[in-house]
Amino acid sequence: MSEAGGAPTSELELRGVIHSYGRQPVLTGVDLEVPAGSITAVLGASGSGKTTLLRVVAGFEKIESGMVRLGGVVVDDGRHAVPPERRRIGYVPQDGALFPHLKVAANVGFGLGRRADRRAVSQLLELVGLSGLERRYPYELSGGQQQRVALARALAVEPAVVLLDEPFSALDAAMRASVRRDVANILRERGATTVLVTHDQDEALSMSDRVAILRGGRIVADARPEVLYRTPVDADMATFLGEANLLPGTVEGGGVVSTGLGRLVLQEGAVQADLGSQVTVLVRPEQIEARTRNAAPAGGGISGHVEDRAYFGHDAVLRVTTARGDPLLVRITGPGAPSPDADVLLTVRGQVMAWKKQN
Amino acid sequence: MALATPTLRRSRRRAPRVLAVISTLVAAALLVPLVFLVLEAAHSGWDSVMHLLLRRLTRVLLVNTVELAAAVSAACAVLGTGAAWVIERTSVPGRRVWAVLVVLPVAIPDFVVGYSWHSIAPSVQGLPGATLVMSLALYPLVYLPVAAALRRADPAEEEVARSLGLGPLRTFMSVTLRQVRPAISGGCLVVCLALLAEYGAFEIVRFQTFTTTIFAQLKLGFDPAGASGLSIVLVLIGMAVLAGEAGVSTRGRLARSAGQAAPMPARRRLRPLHAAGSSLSMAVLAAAGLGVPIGTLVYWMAASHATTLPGGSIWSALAHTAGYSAAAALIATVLALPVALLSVRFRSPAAIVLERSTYVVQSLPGIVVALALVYFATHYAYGLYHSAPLLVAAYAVLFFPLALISVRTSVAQAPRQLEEVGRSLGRAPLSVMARVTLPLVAPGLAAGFCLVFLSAVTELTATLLLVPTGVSTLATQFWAYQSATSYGAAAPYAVAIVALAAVPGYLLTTWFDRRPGFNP
Repeated sequence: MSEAGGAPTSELELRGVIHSYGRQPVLTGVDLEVPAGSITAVLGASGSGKTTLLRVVAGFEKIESGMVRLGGVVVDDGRHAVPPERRRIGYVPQDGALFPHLKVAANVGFGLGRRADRRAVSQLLELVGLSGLERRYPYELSGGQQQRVALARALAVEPAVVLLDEPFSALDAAMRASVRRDVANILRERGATTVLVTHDQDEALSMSDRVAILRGGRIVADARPEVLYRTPVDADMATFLGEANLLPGTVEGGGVVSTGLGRLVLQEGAVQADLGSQVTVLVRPEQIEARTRNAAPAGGGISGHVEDRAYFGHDAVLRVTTARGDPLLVRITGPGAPSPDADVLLTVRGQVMAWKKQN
Repeated sequence: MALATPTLRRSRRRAPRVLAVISTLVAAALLVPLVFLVLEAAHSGWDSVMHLLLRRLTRVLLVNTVELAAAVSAACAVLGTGAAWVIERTSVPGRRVWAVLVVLPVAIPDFVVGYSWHSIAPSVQGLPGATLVMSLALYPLVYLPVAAALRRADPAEEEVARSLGLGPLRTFMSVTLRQVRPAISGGCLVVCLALLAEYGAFEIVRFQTFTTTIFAQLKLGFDPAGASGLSIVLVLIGMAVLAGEAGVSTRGRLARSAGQAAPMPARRRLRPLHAAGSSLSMAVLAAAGLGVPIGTLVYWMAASHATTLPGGSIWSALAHTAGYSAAAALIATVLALPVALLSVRFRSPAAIVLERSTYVVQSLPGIVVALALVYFATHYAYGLYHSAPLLVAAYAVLFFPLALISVRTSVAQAPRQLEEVGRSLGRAPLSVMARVTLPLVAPGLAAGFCLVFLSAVTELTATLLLVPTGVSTLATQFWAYQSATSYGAAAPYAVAIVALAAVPGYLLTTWFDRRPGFNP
C-alpha cells in the first residue's frame, strides 16, 4: 500500500533489496522511499530485519541484489558498494555506542577531523541541550544524555540521512517519552532526513511523519501514522499497531456492516464486498462508548457487563462482555468510568475498518 | 530479544581468512609440546614407558601429589575464605592495610618462600614443610576470587535468610558459603595446577613430586624415557584439574537480576574482643606469608654483607632475565591479539574450540614444556639447544593463556559497532583503527605484557633446563647459590627477582585500575 502524496524528492530510496546471512534470507525485496526532510519509522517485530535494513543503508552490509540510492547517488547496486565512510550518514545505534575512551567533546568532534573547533562542538551540544558537558566521559552521563551526545555526534557531519536504530529502547519508560520528543524536535529543526527503526508502535506513531511496516523481509505498508492506524492492511497489522477488537460482521448495503455491536458504517478504504459476505471488522477500544444504564442518553445501545477495569489515571480500559458473549476492550477517558460488575450500554463512534474473512 | 540478536548476527559473519590462519598456527604452536612429549615417549618405546610407569615410584609420586594437593587446598580454602570474610564483611580495624598485605605473597616466587623458611628452619621439610610453604605462598589465589565474590554477592539473600529466622552462623553456612562456593573451588583448582607445576620449592624442602623426579631423571640419571613417561602422567592429571575448573566456572554463575548495581553488603560490627582477635589473626597471616620471606631476605642480605657483595654479575643476570622476559611478553601478547579478535568478534564453534585449545597450555607445567622443547632441539635443531630463542619460546608458550585473558577482555571493550560508527562518521578503516580500536585495546595489551613479563621473571624450572650456555639469569644464579646452601649469596638474586617482578605488578594494580571508562 503506497500513499500518493505531495512529497518532495526522496533522499533515500531502496529498490528490490535482497540480503541474507549465510543461507538465511533476511531482506527479501525491500522497496522504500524516504522523502527529504521527513522522519520515517520502520516498524517491525524482532527478527523482521529492521536493523539489517539500517546496516545496508549505512554500508556495513553489502546487498546481494537490488539498489540503494542516497541523495542522487547509487551507493550499492549489488555489485559495487560505496564504503560507509563515504556515504555521509549519521548513525545512532541502540545504546549510543559512544567511544568510551574519549570525552564528550572528542566524541562529538570525531567526524569533524580538523574542523572540530570548540565552537562547532559546543553549538552541537547546545542543540541537544547538553551545554557544558564537554569534558565529561561517557560513563559519567545518564542513558538519555549518552543518547543525545550520540545524536550530536551523528549530526556533526551534516549527514544526508540520519539512521536511528531503536535509539530509546535502553532508556527507562519515564525518560523515554521526553528524550523521544526532544530528539524528534531537534531532527525537525535541522530538517534532517531520518530513518528510525523500532519495534515499539507508540514510538513509530508518535515520532514520525511516515511509518513503514517491515514484515517477512519486505515493506508491506508505508503511510502516514494516522492513516496506517485507521486503515491497517490486515488484522495482524491492526493488532500490531495498537489494541483492537476484531468482530465478525456481515456486509449490508450502503456501506454498512452488521456486527455484535449493531450496524456500523464502513470507512473509506474498507473492504468492497458483496452483499451478505462475511468480514472481519476492526473497532478500536477508544471508538466504543460505555455508559451505565441510568446515565445513558435515550437511543440505547448494545447492553454489556463490565468484567474488570484497569485504571491508568488519564484513562481506563474495561473488559466488557456483550449480551451475545463477545469479549470487548473499551477505553474510557475522563471521569466517571463504570465500575466492575456494572451493566452498561455500548455505542460505537465513527466509521470502522473491515477486511474479507480469512480462511 | 534486543540483547540476543547481535550475538546471533555476529555468529553468522565469517571471519577474515588471515585471522583464522594466524590463530590456527598459534594454537598449533602451543600444542606442539604435547606432540613432542608423545613422540619422545614413543621414541623410547611404549613398553619401557609402561614398565617405568607401573613401578612403585609412580605410585609414591601419585600419593605424594594427592596428599599435598588435599592438604594445601584445604589450608588455602580456610585461610583465603577466612581472610576474605574478615576483610570484606567485618569492621576489623585496619582492613585496608590487611587487604593489601594478604595479597602481596602472590608476588613472591614460591621457591623464594621455600628458601626463606628452610634457610632459617631446616626442619621445614617433607610433606608438612611443603604444605606450610605452599599454603602460605598460594592462599591469595583463593582469597582474591572469594573476596570478589563476597563483594558481588547479593546481600538480599542473607537478609532473607535472617528474616526467615536463621541465626548469623547458620546464615553464613547455608547462604554466604553457598554464594562463594564456586569462587572457593575455582581458586582451589588453580592452587592444584600451581602445585603440579612447582619444582623449586619442593626441591628445597626435599619433598618428592613428579616435577622433582622428572628433573632428577633428566639432569642426573639422564633418563629421557622415564622423564617423558612421568610427564605424560603429570599432564593428564593437569588436564583433569583444568577440566574440573572449566566445570566449576560454567556451573557456578551467581544469579542476579541484570542491570542492577549491587548494593553494598553490610559489614558486621565486631565487639572489641572479636576485633582484637580478628586483627591478631590477620597479623599472624601477614607475618607468616609476607614477614618471613621478606625478613629472611633482609637478614641474609645483612649477614652476608661483608663476604658476598653482589658483584658485577648480578647486573648482567638482571639484564638477561629482563631481556628474555620482555621478548617472551612481547611475542605472547602480539600472538594473543588475533586469537582474541577471532574468539570475541567471530564466535563460531571453530573459533571457540581454537580458543579453548590454547587454554590447555595452562595445565602444562614448565618442566613439561621445557622437556618437549629439549627433545625438539636435540632431534631437529641442535643449534637451538641451550639458545636464547628456545628459552623465550618456552616462556611465550607457558604464559600465553595469561596474555590471552587480558587481551581478550580489552578486545571485548572495543566492539565492532564502535568501528562501524567511526566509519559512518567519515573515517577510513585505518584511521578508525588508530583512533578507536587501538586506544581501547591498548590497556589489555599492556596488561598482558606485564603479566607474562612478571611470570617469566619468576620462572625457575624451564629456565634451569633451557638457559643458554654460558649465560646466567637471576633465577639460575639464585638456584646455584641456594643449592650450595650459600644463602647469603643467594639473597640478592631473590631480592632482584622480587623487585623486577614488582614493577609490572605495581603497574597492573594501580595504573590500569584508574583508567577512566573501562570499569565494567
